[in-house]
Amino acid sequence: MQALVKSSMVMDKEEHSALLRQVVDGLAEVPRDDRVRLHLSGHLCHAPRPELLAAIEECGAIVVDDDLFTGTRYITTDVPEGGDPVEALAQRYLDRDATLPCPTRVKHESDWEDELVRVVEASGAQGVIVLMVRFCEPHMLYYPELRKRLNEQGIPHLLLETEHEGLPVETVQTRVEALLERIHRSTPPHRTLEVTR
Amino acid sequence: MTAAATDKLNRLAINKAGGKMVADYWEDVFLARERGQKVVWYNGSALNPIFQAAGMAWCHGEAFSARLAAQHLEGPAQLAGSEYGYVGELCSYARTHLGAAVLSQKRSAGSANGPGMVGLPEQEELASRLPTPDVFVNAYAGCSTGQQWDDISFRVFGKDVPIFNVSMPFFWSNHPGEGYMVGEEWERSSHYVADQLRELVPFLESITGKPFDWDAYRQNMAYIKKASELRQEAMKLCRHLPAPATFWDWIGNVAHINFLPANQDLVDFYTAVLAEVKQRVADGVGSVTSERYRVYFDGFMNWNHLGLLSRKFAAHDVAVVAGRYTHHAFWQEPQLIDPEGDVLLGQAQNNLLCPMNHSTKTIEELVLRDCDFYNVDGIVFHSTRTCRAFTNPQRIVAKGAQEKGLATLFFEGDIADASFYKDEVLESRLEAMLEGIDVRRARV
Repeated sequence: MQALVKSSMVMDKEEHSALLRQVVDGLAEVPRDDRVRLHLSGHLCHAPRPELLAAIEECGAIVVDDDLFTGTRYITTDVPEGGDPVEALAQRYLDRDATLPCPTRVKHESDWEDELVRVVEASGAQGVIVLMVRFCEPHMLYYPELRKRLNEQGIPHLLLETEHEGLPVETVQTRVEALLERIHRSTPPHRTLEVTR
Repeated sequence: MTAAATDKLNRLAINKAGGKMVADYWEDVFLARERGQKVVWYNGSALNPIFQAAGMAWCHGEAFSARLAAQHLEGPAQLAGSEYGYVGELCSYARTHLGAAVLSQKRSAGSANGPGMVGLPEQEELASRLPTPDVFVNAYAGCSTGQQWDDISFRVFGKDVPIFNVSMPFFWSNHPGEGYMVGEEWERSSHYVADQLRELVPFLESITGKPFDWDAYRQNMAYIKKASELRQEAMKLCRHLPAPATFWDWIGNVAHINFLPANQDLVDFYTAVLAEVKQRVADGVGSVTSERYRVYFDGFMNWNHLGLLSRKFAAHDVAVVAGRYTHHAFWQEPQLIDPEGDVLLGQAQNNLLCPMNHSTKTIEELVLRDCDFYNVDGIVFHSTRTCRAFTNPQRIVAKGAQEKGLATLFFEGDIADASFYKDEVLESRLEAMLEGIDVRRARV
């Protein structure tokens, strides 16, 4: 998913869309397994390092949804068709803050914590990992509001502070494993026929 | 710090009386609800003359955090903030104030769950005394954290308290002819902010239910203008050798010009400040008893260590004569205020002239201009850990200073979080810097 979104940010849209259709056509439904389903939240302005995502999955989790800048946040809102293209692009930025609120914007049309709980319930995620880049003031200011709501809803979550460079993989894995252990203890494993794509 | 070292510091005596004015102001704020006054919480720009004319009590977020830190009472508020979820790298002004907001809300709700640590309940008592807000007004120049801070306070209080945001443009000065108080960008931004302040007035009227007193506002601005002129004149006298007052003295009376009520008492206070400074100049009395070096201070104030830093520099015979924080803020351009004319424009312009709200090029020009005026040997940079806005341009400014032959020194610390300061690091770097100045002088 990260590779698909990141490539769409830099590639010619037509070329990317054609390739994306091939990817979608090649997808097959797979039975849901026992991996813990997680939602990744945060990283408002850059991509998580691939090693971080790999470390999370190696712990026995699967990321089923996100609100990352290089993920759902980028594709959540379309540019309105018709009219002045520059105004349409500007409108898309404004609309995106309503559909997936960003704490850098100081807007009140919708609240990030409401949206986070809604999508976590919709995806069936069993927990949330908040990825906070160090020194990201908007995220540092807003995080307690997310934390408060997740606690109220009984959704297990973990805050991971990250750096632009470098990653303490072992530390991350230890903390993720602790989160997964917590989730395992509080919820029975899913063995339904639900499918995931 | 030895007793002998402490003796080298000769603070302005008038600041002691000034301290009582500040304490009285806060007591007045704490009792605002009992008087039936509406309470506004605000950050950044000094909008207090407007609030005063609206008949409100005003609580400046940074000022409250600074006061707690200067009195070493910041612990409970920072602990409450930490428990609420704010991480340690967040602006410690914001973190302390938001922690105080959590405590204030708790107190308002009648909850008495203390931190359970010896001595902290008494400190928590002060941190939680801020009256809860009836309204938030945000007008922060040059700092994105400041712009978001009040929005988060709004959320901490359950999104029930009205909020008014004033958008403060940054001065990029990217085009020819643009710079400090000149150019199209300056004119456009000034009117853009003044227009928003005009909209703020009816908003405040809707909160207080009373008409805004324009005559009182003009009178407030006249007091501010006069007080600022006196302060500026006194500051400039520190060009004299020995310096009759230092950066630490200007820190000691910065609260007055920043947020105390605009009235005759304020003017009288700065009249007394100027008189004491003039007398010292006439008598050849310095703020450091044996001044051998003079430096400029770039960085936010380290409120936790105000006393320690002032004594440390004096102990080394260093007069810190001026600083970006004290000299490039706080109504520093009083000539822009026209109490009889477009008074909101002068307010807007002074609010925009925040020392963080300029391009690095402008900041460098202003700092080096001051260094020339005060004839300093070097610049001490306080690398303020949780204030990226103030710290960002420092390396480039240092390079410009070095090219002019000035000595430079960086030390790490913070605005309101004591843990980021390492005394041994400053001590050794300061000694090295002074040795370098001695060597340079010997060569000349």
